[in-house]
Amino acid sequence: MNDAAQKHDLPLWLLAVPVAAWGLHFLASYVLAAVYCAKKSTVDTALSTPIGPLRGWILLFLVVTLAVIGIAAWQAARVRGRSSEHRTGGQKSVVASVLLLLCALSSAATIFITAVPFAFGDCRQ
Amino acid sequence: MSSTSDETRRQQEVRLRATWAAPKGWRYFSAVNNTVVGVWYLTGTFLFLLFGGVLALLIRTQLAVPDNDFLSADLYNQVFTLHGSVMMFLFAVPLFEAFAILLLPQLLAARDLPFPRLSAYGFFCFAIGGIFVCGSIFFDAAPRGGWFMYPPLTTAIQQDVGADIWLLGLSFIEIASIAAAVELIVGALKCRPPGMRLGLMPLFSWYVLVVSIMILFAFPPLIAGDIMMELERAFDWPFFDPERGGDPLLWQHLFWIFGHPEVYIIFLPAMGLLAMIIPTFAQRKAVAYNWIVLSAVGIGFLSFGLWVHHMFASGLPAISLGFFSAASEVIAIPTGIQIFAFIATVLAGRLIFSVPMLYAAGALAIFVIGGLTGVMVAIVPFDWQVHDSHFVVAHLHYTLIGGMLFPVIGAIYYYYPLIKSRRLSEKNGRVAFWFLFIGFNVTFLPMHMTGLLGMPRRVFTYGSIDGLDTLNLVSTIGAFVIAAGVLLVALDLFRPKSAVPFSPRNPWNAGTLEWLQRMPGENWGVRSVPLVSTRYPLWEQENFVADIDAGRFYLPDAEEGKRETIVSTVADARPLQCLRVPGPSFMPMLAAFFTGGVFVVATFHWWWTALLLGVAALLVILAWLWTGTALIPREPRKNVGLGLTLPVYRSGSASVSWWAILITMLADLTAFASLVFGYFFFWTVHEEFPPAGNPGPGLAWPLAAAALITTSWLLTCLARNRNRADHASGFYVSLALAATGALAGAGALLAGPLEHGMQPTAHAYDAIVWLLVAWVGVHLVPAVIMQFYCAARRLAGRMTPGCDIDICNVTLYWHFLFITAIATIAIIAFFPLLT
Repeated sequence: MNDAAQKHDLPLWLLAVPVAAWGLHFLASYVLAAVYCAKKSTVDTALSTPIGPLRGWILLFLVVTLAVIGIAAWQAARVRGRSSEHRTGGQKSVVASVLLLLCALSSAATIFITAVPFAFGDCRQ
Repeated sequence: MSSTSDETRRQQEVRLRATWAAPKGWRYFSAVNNTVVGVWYLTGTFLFLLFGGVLALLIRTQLAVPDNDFLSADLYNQVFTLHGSVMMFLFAVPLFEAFAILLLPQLLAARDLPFPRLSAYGFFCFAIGGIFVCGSIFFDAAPRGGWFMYPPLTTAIQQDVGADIWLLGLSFIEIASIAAAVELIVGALKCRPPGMRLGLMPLFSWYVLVVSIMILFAFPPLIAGDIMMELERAFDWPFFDPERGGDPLLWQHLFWIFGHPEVYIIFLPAMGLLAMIIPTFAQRKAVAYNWIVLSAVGIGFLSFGLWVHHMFASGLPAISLGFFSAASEVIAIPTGIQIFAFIATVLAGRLIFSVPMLYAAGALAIFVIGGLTGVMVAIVPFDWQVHDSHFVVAHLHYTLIGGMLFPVIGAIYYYYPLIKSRRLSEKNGRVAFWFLFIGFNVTFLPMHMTGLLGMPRRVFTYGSIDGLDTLNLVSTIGAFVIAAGVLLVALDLFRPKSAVPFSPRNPWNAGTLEWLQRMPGENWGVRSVPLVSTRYPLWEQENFVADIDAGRFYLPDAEEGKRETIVSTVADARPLQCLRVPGPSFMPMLAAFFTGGVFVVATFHWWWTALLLGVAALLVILAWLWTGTALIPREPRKNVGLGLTLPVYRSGSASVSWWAILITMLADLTAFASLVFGYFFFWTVHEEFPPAGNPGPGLAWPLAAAALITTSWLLTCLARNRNRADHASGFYVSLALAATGALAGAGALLAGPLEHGMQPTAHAYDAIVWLLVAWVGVHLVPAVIMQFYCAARRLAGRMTPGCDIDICNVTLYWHFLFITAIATIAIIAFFPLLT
């Protein structure tokens, strides 16, 4: 790789950003729900403990997560377009291409997780 | 390209051969070449497969007919526990390490991995731990609690030594896995040939990288759980005892945070092997390279969000189960992408249906069925119906045998010429395949039905119920057909082959670098380290093999008789260093023997003997480090060929050993995070945590410890800087004060719970506080030893201001130790104030 291509490529660790963002969203949603239900309800009161208040928080997590993934995707798209000009045979940056794909996968996975609290109404076990 | 005469080339080859020769005779087991250690690993894992297979046959014989008494209930428990444990810990995961150690340097045209002695150490740990665990069944002492060892069965009820053997024996093997992961990550990132930027890496290398990183984060939670359970069993610390504030569910969380990624740790490398086999037999480049990398990375991450799908029946809130059910469905996306990419490669190429390809096709067919039943059991209501039934047994075997065993046998047939320079029998391979494929489906397809009919797992017999008798008998017949297939493969592998002619070079006309190997093979790996500019250089780079063979690339010689390989940058593989790697030594074997001894004797609670063995292990490891690492070269730079001169010694973040410490400490930090998870888990499940009236460790002693440890950390950093400035007295004084501060800090940390009368056997709160404190204390001891080691290195002239790998690495260790200590103090001293 020549110097120009190197300057326009992305570091390897960026691949972790979208999937780590998904992971943090997942953990935050799970921990919030687990702690909420553990602290607010018992086995006897689980059915009458609504999870409504959680939904707003989990939606907020979604917005933040999608914003992080969006920034990573924008970086990937930008570099992917540029890098081909600097490489032998016009090859595109693999890191940028894979990052773009991971952003798509992570977005889908995050939306999947966000849908969960809308399918449940309470802390039932 | 430089030109050299035939005589010069011949002499270069003589020197290379002598330098890289593996020892023979009684010194054979001092070898550290990846080609030798990889074969040991492969042989060891295959032998454990045979042992686990015999256990499986015992299980199936017992279940062949209703009310059978072939095995007693107790022996059956030992047999199925050991079968699962052997297959997961002693076959499936180490097999990845075996293939990766054997192949990675060849795939990357490196001469060896960066820490060959660490590979050997890992192998001996694996072998010792494996023999210890497997041997227990011959003394009627094997673990009996299932391969997941759920408490309270394994803490309150099964008081015999079996669970200790599992906990300590397999923890020891986990160390081997982490050692291999460190080696492989640094190898994949830093030992690529010039020009092989990330996007040109062979696909198997991507899988090795992803899986090694997964091991770093998946195994430590289990190690943390093992520590807790062994402390409960040996010293009555009640982490899992509800009577005293513990909770058995904590073990399930820690176990499955490890256990589910482990499924993918097993499956992904096998997919990596398919990603090498399929393009070769399709005679074209892999279709959708980027998408396959996406799948590997995506699965690697997503697999950490699935662990609770093994706990759907444990009574967690439905919303929690929902998150894990959703994540379990999502992972089907990257898994499917990968399989479609393989199928597309087959369809786009000109397929040669050789034996490895036959196994690859069988793997895809079986794995897809296992994947589909996986989607079924990821749906909570369905899982509740089939939980702990033989349906799950069928599902997991379709996943693991399809996703791992078939690709691996295919890979053995594919790569055997690299191991023994000869090919296995094509005819035998085909016959064995059909035995395995038919036997597998005959065994496990009926288990879906027996499971749906309600037959539970792990129960040693069953009554005569309509349908169960016949289906079980069919499964047992199938198991023996599988055994016949495995036997055929084993016979092919181990039969004498002196009459079999050497294979031609690159017998499958593959395009990747491992097939540069000459037949018969040489220990040097690659004749000269090439410049790589394509993904399939053997297909795409003109005159490539001839130039390598003629020594026209880098490092064509071993003038100084030193083992050398090239270290390059992570992203674009620009050469950075000519790395000298150590040669044969018995140190790794001795170190493994003594560390293994600690675990073995601790099982029987012979604490003084364990301490003595621990000291012996420490001395051997220090001798190993002293004589074999961070050696100062006579000449600081070396001409590696093609007009390129590289430094021989690099320290700090430019050193591969610095990366190894960084990676090891990430794993260590993950284990610590798992203990912290335990603390907050107890807080979640208790209405009042810390329990009322419990004073905790107080504030004064933890704050004193924080001040002392912080000072010690800063002094260690100062010592590094003083050494660089060649200020000897400043260096020694800083280190002496740092060591004193560290010891005083450890004392202050222990004084908190001690002075406040916290009893680790009284309540889970006391136990977890003591454990966190002990964790920091146990890390401070080697930290002080390292400080003295650095001082001794400088005194002996083995560390200088310019050659300071040791103190840089110790400082990095201290960064992590500082984070661990401060986090511990914040949690134990300040969190109770918030509640």
